[in-house]
Amino acid sequence: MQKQDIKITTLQQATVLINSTIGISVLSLPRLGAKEIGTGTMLLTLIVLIILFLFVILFAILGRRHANQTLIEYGNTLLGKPINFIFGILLVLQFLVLTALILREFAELMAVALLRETPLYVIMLIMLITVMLSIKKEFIVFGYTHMYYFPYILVPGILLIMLLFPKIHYYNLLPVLGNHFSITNMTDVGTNMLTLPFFQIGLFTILIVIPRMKKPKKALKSSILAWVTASFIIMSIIVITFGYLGSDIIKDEVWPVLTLSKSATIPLPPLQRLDVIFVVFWIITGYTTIFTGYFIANELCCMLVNIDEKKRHVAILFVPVVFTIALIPKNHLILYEWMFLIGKYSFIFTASYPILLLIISLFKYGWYARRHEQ
Amino acid sequence: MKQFITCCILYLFLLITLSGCWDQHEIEKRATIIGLAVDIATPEEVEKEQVTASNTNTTNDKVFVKLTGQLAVPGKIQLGPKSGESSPDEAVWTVEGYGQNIGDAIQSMQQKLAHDVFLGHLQVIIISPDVFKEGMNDINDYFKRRTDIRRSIWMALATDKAADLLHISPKLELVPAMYLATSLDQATEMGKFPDLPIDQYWFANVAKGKHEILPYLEQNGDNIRIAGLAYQNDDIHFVDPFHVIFYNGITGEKPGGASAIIKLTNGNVLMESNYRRVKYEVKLKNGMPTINVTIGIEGVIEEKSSKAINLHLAKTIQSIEQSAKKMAEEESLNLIEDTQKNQSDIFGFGEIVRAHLPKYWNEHVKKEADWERIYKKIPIHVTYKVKVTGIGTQLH
Repeated sequence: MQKQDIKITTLQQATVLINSTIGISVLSLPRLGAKEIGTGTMLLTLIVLIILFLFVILFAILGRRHANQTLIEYGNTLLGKPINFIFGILLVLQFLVLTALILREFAELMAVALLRETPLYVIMLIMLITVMLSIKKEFIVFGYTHMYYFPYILVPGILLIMLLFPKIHYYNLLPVLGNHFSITNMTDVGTNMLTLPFFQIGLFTILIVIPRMKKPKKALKSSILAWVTASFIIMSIIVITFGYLGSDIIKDEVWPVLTLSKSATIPLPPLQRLDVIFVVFWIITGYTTIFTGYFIANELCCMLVNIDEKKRHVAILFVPVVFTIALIPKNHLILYEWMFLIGKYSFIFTASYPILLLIISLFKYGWYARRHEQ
Repeated sequence: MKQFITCCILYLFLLITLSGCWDQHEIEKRATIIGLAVDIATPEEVEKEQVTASNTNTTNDKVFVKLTGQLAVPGKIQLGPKSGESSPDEAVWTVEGYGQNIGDAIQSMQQKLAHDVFLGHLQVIIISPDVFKEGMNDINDYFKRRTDIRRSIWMALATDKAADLLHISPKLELVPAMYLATSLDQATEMGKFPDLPIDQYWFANVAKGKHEILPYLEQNGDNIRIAGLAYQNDDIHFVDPFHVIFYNGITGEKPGGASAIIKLTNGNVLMESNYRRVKYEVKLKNGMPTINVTIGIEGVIEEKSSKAINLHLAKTIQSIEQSAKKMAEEESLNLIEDTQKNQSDIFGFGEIVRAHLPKYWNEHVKKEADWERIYKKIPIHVTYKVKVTGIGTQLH
């Protein structure tokens, strides 16, 4: 019984955040802006990461203020049970849809890069079952899993960066603002990037994990550190993709970063082909993101309907839902269109719910309340 | 108990689905193509071997493709030195395919092969001058679209028939296609040839400010010779091997390694560069981009032609540096002027202008032809800084 009370450590919380943020969508990230703003995409990605960084801070502050309660618990006290219940249900649905979209993206990538003849539904089903089996009775397993996979994401990521960094052409990175700079293009592409599902999943984990932490006081510091690390890796990958491929090639590629890894070679005969190694890297990043998305939906649902925490494996109920949603898009062209559309609406939600809670919390318990008492 | 049964069912399911029934491939059951040669085919040849359409009349004014693929025969290619028994004839097999475009020709090739065509180990694509003039779109589209092709492979131009280059019988490698790729790889590593694998070609192909350029291979009896670089604008133009080293200098290829004869008043010396560095400076002067290229070269003296040259004197070294600088500047300018005359910016100066002068670029360059018109007229200055760092083990 003692085992179940083990709390997530600060390092584990950081790895959860990093793993969930570096997702399969990084593969297509450079393409999103390459057509409209060219080399300006890099600056825009940085801006997007900084905006999300502000959300990270806000979320961590909110989580730290209510470190003894879970999200739904303090939501209940702050918003009132009925409103919070509606919010909760919508959040669960939202994360199921986002997870399904990422799952489909993952399957599309696999179908192109590795498993050319395997039917899509098999790839998705296997991934879903793996994710479902990863959800164990104890919360700590979530932390352990991410902690375990962290080096498998960090090392190949850094390897890719190191191998290709000497090969980049500086002129592919310039001009910083892009050749056809316009504010409307910037904001359009920026919104698409900001609202990508995998960023939202990364952000939301903070709220789920903090109540389970050993030292919730350190959550803010570790979240900031984790976000900076994840941003550094994402930015490096994007800068190298631009520096090596150039924006003209990137705009035609479905997964520019995948193409990039086909160019990475070590001049040693057995290691000449590294793209397969990198595909394995993308499988792991895909797995961690899908796992987190699924886990969030499951946790929220358990909290909402008061299912005992030890019975987390009711998660199996979500498998058909996620699987069916993931099967709907016809191909990856439609998938990306949907992703932007759904991402935009769900982002409003992902961002507004915690911020609403934070504002109410500040009024109720913060300086405002204190001054009022006096 | 319930848990046990659920686990059993799950694991059984995983066992069946995870063991890769769909994407299972036996290495012996794959037709591994190592080299491809692309030539022009006649309509009759295509008509005879058509597999993807009922007739060949569907395309208008399009050239047809003849593909020659070099297949590795499983089990015949050993790693390490040759044992003496196997010859290229045994280790490789050549299959031809004809079609309206590349994919079509691959299908026609597949029709003659029992195993699945596999392009994951493709090393080199040789194209004939006719294809270079007319049919590059097909090649670019097909090979870019396929995910199993590496982007570090070589694409090279042949003198006449591309397929002929796959029939050479080199003694150093068992597979001719591998030998072609290795020759180019090694030349790059030695610094004698620019690193221009297929992804660099594609980069130049889509970038507005760079003209595409290909390695040029020439058949030399049973062997091949790297005969420089080739680019195409209406007609095919060549950069000979001597000028390739200046191409390397201007684009700042690393490492150094090119050799050149430096003329002095009393003979000449052979100098080999071992380090190159390049700096570009772009300015807008009188509404025209002006490019200053500064190239730093460090090299060693390899050989001298007459006893009269006193290499131990600092003065001689200085004069070598002076004449090397003068020669390199002249030759580089010749090369640049040639490309300007042909309106082909093979160095990628346009990309540098795009990077540094985005406003000018947006105004004047809408498509590649715009830049090429501008490129013809812009002033480009080349300055070399030559440093002799060694003269070998002999003092005089």
